Amino acid sequence: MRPLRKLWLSALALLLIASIALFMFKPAPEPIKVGVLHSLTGTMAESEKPLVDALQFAFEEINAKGGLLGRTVQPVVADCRSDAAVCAREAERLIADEHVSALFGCWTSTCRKAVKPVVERHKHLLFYSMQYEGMEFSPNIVYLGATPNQQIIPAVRWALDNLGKTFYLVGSDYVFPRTANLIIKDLIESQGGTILGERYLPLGGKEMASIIDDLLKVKPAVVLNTLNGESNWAFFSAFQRAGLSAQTMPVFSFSLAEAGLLAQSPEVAGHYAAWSYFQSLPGEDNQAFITAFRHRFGASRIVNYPMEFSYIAVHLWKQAVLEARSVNPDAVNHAVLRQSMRSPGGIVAIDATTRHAWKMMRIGRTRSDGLFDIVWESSRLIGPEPYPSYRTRENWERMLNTGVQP
Amino acid sequence: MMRFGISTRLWLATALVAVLPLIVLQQALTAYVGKVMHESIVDHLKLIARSKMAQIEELIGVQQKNIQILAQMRGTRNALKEIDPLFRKGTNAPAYRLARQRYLDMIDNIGNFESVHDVFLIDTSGEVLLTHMEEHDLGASLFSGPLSNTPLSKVVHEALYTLGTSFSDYAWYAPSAAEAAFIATPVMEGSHLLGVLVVQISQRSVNKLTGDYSGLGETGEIVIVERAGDDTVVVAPLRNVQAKPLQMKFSRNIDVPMHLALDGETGVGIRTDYRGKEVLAAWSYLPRAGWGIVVKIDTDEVFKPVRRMQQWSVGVLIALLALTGAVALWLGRSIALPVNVLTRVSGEIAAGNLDKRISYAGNDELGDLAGSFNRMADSLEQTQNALLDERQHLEDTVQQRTIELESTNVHLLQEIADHKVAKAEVLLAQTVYQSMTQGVMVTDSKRNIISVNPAFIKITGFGSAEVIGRKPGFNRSGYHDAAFYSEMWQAISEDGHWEGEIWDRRKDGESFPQWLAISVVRDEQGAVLHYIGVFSDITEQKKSQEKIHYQANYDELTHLPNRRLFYDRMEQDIRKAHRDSTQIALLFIDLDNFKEINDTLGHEQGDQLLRETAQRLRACVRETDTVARLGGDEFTVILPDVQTSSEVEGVAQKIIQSLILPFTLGDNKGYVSASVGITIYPLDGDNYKTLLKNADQAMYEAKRLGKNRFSYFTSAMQQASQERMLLSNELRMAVQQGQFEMYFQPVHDFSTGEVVKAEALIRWRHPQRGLVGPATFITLAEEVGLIGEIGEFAFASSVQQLQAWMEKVPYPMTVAINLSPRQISGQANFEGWIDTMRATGMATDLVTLEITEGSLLEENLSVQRKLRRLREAGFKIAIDDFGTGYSSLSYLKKFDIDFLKIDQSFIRDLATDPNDRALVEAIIVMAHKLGIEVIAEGCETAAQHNVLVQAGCDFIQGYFYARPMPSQDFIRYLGMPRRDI
Repeated sequence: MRPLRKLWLSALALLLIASIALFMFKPAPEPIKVGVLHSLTGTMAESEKPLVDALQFAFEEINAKGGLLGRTVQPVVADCRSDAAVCAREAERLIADEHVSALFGCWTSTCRKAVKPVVERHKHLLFYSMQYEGMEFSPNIVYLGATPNQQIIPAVRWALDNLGKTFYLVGSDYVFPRTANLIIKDLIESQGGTILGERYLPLGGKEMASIIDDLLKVKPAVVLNTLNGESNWAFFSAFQRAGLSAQTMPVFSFSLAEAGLLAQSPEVAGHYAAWSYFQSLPGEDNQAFITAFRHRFGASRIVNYPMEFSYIAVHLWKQAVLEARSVNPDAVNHAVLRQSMRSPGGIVAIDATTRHAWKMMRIGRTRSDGLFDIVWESSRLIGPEPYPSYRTRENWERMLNTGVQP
Repeated sequence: MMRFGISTRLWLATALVAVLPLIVLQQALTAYVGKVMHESIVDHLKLIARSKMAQIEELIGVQQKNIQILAQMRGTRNALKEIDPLFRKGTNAPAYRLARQRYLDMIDNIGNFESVHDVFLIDTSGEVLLTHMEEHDLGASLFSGPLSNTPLSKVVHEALYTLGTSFSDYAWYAPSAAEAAFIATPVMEGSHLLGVLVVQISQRSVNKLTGDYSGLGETGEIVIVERAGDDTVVVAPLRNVQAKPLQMKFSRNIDVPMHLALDGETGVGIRTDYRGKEVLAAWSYLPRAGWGIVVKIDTDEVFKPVRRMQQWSVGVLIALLALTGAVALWLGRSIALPVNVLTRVSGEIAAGNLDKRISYAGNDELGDLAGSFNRMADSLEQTQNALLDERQHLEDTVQQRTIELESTNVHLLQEIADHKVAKAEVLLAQTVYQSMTQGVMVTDSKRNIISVNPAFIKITGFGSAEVIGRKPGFNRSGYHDAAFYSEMWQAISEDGHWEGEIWDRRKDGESFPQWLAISVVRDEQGAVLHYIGVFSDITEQKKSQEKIHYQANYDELTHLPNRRLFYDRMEQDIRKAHRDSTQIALLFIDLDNFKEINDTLGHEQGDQLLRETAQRLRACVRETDTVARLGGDEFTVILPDVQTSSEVEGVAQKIIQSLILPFTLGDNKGYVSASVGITIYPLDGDNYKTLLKNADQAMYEAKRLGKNRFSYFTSAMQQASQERMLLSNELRMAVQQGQFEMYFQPVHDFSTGEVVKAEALIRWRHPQRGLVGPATFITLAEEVGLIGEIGEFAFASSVQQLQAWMEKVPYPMTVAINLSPRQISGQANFEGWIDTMRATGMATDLVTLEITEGSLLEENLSVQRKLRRLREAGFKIAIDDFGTGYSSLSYLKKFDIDFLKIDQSFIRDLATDPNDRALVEAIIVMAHKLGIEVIAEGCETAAQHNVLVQAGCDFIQGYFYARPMPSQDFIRYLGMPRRDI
């Protein structure tokens, strides 16, 4: 073969290889950024940190199975510092600067109400996993937490039937406890119960002396507790120090779950809480979930309702992204309304009309190990009624505006 | 060494270079197209599944809404309080009966309880105080005794516990002796619990959920399941298997999509269904009912197009490979063959065979060589042929001369014979004239009759004495006009002959048709000697012609036009539509199951069914439309001059509805349904053949989609039809979810410059399309009957806003709300509006209702009554778009109209078109004379504004001032300084 021809042939082969390589090579796709809005410092940190872990766990689960639409999911965690204003600013930053595709977070209603205008302005999407007082609808929030008819109302009814007729209300001074107590008073008084007292502490407040004195004086059959964050620790220790116990005066808590009680001393056994998920639920799905979570975060880790619903939020978001074939918040927002899933605590389904979730409802009594025995369970999923249907929406709003200090 | 010929080498090379890339290309292409098709099929199923689920969701959602509204009504609270004590005295006591009836009447007046079997009022201790059906559950206790484990008991318990609306399983309910599901909601007064209101969803309406398989082909199925203990049970009837509801159970161990749905999962994929067949399924969970829903189609059916594409592409590949092989072979041969021929033929020519040639004539070097060879052989052969030709020519000439001589001889003999015959012919003519059956009339040159033959007398009844001397035409029938006769005579004088059908009268006065031939006899100079008319009576012939015509054009069984006449009509209609630029719809109707009727009940009953079908079809269309029977059970309908597709769909629906009704066939009842294919001229074809063929195809599509439906040929129209369905579903959703908003456009009082009014304009905030204007959805809302609810929203929301503005401005604001004609003629709750106004404490004259001119002209008495009622209640009435319809002044006076709104189309060219200007001035003057104030809408420029001001217009609205805006912007607008005019 002549040298010139040899040269031509090798050039041709080289060209062929180069073009195949060019064809096969794809640049690594950019990760999907999602925003996590929780308090890592301040009074809410103790409650909210486990939620960040639950979210992290869900994202890792997705990435381990090859990500979403061929991209990995990358959470961007912002610290709300237990301050609603900070949280709103962080939300703005995550959306505008970090270009996240969805936001997961907020614990208190105050926080949610601060973030709401931000997500609405950007036509963005926030997944909110906490139980709350209802009476809200935003086209840009998916509310996974329980509404009053999914938690407070059946719980109060159960307490009336099973624990006694005299009540004492303790709560942190912000929207959720105020509104919840409004409904609670309504119910108790119309069903033959009596309210012996109603006290509020500033969020994070630890001054329990006067409340405990009052409790000792009026001796209610049940204490209904809507305290949030670290105030709970202070309350329960003061409660015990004063010689009060679950046998004589059970406390029914609406914002306190496994992780919260475990941080307390084990002697809190006998008190009650109402959630749609408890770590002690039977069933293979739940066992698998707890095992996997502990494998990742440590064998002694507790899983509770807010954590489970944070985890659920991510998976519902994932399903919606797959259905919409897009991470655009607007497209996902539309698709998420059609989602339902099999979760560790049973089926969870989004109600398209209210943007809230259908879920189970359970009442648990604390054991000495900090977990709960389930003493009551709804027979099927309960539908969300953010504006309880026995009054009109206008009626509720009027009541809120006149009955509660802002 | 092996020897490869030229052709073998070429063949091998070509095949190698072509075959490999072809196979690779085919594989890649098939894989890609297959993937794309697969995705689109999956998407399609998803879409259908979503719409089915929305339908099911709606059944429950509507009842949930109904019961919640009902529970909040004072009537329900009162009924519970009133009935409780009466109930204790016995449910047969008159007082109880009366209270019960009053409450049931109230329910009847409120809601749509179509799918409800029963309604219950239950007190807080679980005692059933009142039921609509009064089955033996009335008076029973739900928390103890036999009913304590029923779905009703559970749902009441849960409603009491959560104080929320609760839903039960679908389960056997003994008092109704049927399966039932319940929805319960608490009835409260403030926070005081009075009892529970329950509705029972009827078994019938649950069974109906799976009845509609449109879009799901032949094997599509909707499976609705719920959990009963550890089993999964089927709730609504299946398509592929006959089973009673809740009787079909499946263990959780079987891996079928229904379990996924019940686990709360949503998804789509290829799975094995309960029959063990592979299906494409979409599954989803419906939390309200606790149901899992699976929508699925056999993969055999749904992926048929993909398989067909793959087979086709393999076919093409094989064909291409064969072609490549053939080309390679041909190329090899085309070189090798001529060389062989050249060698062989040159050998033969050399041996003396001069007529041999090389047959190869290719345009290449080999061809040139062959050509030279041939030319050489030619010149040799030419010399030889020239000699042979010369001899042949000589022989030909001798033969021709002989033939010419013979022919002259024959001609002479013929002439001699002719002379003999002429004499005999005169005699013959006489005889023929007398004995022929045709009538003959001979006139002189002045057209006086001089002779008639016996047949004339026999046919006409006139004797020869009666007609001789008269002019022909004395017995005219009067059927033909003067022009006919003058044309006839003109033809005779020009051509010497006329022939045609003509009606004359017999002596007894009866008219009869005849076939008449008139000839002129002239002398040698060409002057007229005679006119001869020969005619035959064709009365009988005519009759049988008509019969033949009928038989040829009409179907004997149904008396409808047959295929032939159908083609005729179609052609006529197409010509007319082409001329007038209108559209024609062609409906191709085929009866489903007709064959079964024929087979089971006999042909006679089958014929009866066809006859009645023909009658029903005729009843479904206008007089001007054609209904034809093409044969068998195939019918067609031509609808000329159609304007909208909903018009066509209306007729198609009507036909489908009318044919689904039972047919009385002797002692039996026959049931058929119809599949209708629709084509539109000129969209789907410009001749009847194409239109018919396409309509036939569309009809098959309708059959394929599940029969008893119609389908368009054009996919765009089919899509538009489906789109309308989708949009109407979305609209229904929008109504449920309250996706509407009101925008307000300020109306300025020209004399003060203040904003004194606002026109309320509805907008739809569609989740994907964004803000949608009313033009897109109001007509549809009217068609699907949602206009009432949308109108209610518009009214309530506008009045609420008005109340808000009243607090902001020191003078009375008014709001104008548009009323659709359908809203007025429908069941609009105007009494409710009057109540609403009363409740707000605002005067009704702050609200103007804008109606169209058409509404005023409506002959319907109830419409007139409603308008009067609104008027009497104090609402102001404005006529919208004035000038575009047919208004009559008398109506304006009669209804005591307050405002006229001059239509935008007059305002647009106001500054430039003096005609429009004159018209607007005239309207204003006239209106003012009648005491009516005038509003101009669509004022955009200062020039228009000036003209309106000069013309004395009272109110002005338009972009010149402001666009429609949300209420909060409107409030801000009220506070802004006025624009300087």
